[in-house]
Amino acid sequence: MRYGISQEILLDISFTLEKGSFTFITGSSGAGKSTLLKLLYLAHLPSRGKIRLFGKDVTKINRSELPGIRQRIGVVFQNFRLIPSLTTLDNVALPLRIAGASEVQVKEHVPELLDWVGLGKHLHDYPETLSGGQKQRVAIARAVIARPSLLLADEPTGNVDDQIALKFMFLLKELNKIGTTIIVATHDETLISRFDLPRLHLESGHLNFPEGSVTNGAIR
Amino acid sequence: MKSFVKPILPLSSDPSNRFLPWIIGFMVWLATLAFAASMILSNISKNWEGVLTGAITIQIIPSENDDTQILKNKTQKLLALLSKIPAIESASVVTLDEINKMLQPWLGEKSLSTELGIPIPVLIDARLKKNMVINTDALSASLKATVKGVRLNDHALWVDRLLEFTQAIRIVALTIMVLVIISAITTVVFSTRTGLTIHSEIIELTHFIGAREEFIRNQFSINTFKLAIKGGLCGLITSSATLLFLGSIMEGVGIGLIPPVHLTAFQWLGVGGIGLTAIFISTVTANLTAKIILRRMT
Ligand SMILES: Nc1ncnc2c1ncn2[C@@H]1O[C@H](COP(=O)(O)OP(=O)(O)O)[C@@H](O)[C@H]1O
Ligand SMILES: [Mg+2]
Repeated sequence: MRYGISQEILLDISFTLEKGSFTFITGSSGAGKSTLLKLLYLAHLPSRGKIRLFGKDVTKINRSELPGIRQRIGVVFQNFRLIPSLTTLDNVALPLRIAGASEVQVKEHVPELLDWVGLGKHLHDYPETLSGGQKQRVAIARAVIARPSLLLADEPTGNVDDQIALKFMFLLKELNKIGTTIIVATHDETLISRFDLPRLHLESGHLNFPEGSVTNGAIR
Repeated sequence: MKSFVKPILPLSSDPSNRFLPWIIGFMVWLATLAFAASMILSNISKNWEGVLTGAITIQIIPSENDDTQILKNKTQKLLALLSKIPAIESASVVTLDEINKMLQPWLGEKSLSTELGIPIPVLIDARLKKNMVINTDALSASLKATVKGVRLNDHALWVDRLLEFTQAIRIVALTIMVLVIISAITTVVFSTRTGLTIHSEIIELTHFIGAREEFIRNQFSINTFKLAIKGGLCGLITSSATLLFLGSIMEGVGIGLIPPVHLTAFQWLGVGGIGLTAIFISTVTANLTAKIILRRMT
């Protein structure tokens, strides 16, 4: 993978994650964690190599198939990427509406989920009036509202205090229990050490497999 | 197509949202007035054409020593001759009263022959049978052979001029409408393109969340549709008001020669149709612009 005409940022990376797994992508800042996630949520195509998602080679599919695959992926972006002109409720409802859900479904599920992440009182607030932790919870709610099969989170604990970081990790554990495949990119060592999870370690664009880390290093 | 009405992109705060309705309104106003002008002219020319074609005017110019009796004899001779020509339906003398009425706007209440002392020519109005053509040269010659000092006016030349004139006006009106449509399309293309640029980040996000192209396109067409309705209605209301106002002024002036400046009910429908067309064109343009640019963006 490379950006424009730059050097290749990710090289010789090859791994397979099982359905229902929970994996950390670790590595220092600039190692290429975000870039790897971008490849996974199809924001970029790799300059060479293959990426298989849900059994399909996404480097070869028709562009009309992209939305369908993306709708099965939930992303918590590094800087949340909430839409400033939409309320909490409408931000979280976005994936449902994009997927063509009815307003009845939106009214039923969105307030319930926001209640669960502790934002029941902020349904009609706009992002700029929310604190960092609240924004993060909105971003998480948006990532999971449409029950994705694959959840990607980029430095989800970067902007919030430990308390919320832990709460978030437990929420992910719950989602993982019901079958969601989860990948969390982070350089937060305390977070990594708190959870005994397999990790993909990136070092200047190369993949390292620390002892017993990843489920399976098979080449695909 | 699953259309989605709830706006995701904050298009309503775009600068173009403020001026687009005004521009569309102005375009509709201009286009409807151009359309109405050409319609009114064609109404008028149809009126005139109806009166002028199928009629011939014959003048008997009195010579110096013609007295009333001689003129009357000449007139009788001509009428007798005309009644024998098969193509002519009827021929009758235009009475002095009628002439006075026609000239009243210019001469006021004075009556021609008595007060002004001008010898007036006798006018004979001959109506042709429907769809009949007559050889005016031959007729003129035979009339002249019967009575001296006869002049024949057929109105074909006038009608031709009139038709040329209204045709020219119609072309001008059509050109205005075409220009208006082009500039409306350009405006919508421009504002859609700006919108796509301003909101590219949110658009990218919606792509990542799995939005299909139509979803984003509909954002633009629905927004433009709303603005075009606003503008189109304003344009229609102001142009209707303009037309009614002009119509009432013309009526007040009461120039007898110009038929009333009115549109028929059917033509009013046409005016409404222009408003609807503007809304339709704007919406489709926004949609297609978004389609083309989105294809290029990703
Ligand atoms: N949009 C971009 N254009 C060019 N280079 C980029 C871009 N995004 C990231 N990079 C470069 O790619 C490398 C990996 O970045 P990133 O994936 O963001 O690392 P991480 O998320 O692990 O901190 C860095 O050297 C960074 O400068
Ligand atoms: Mg990063």
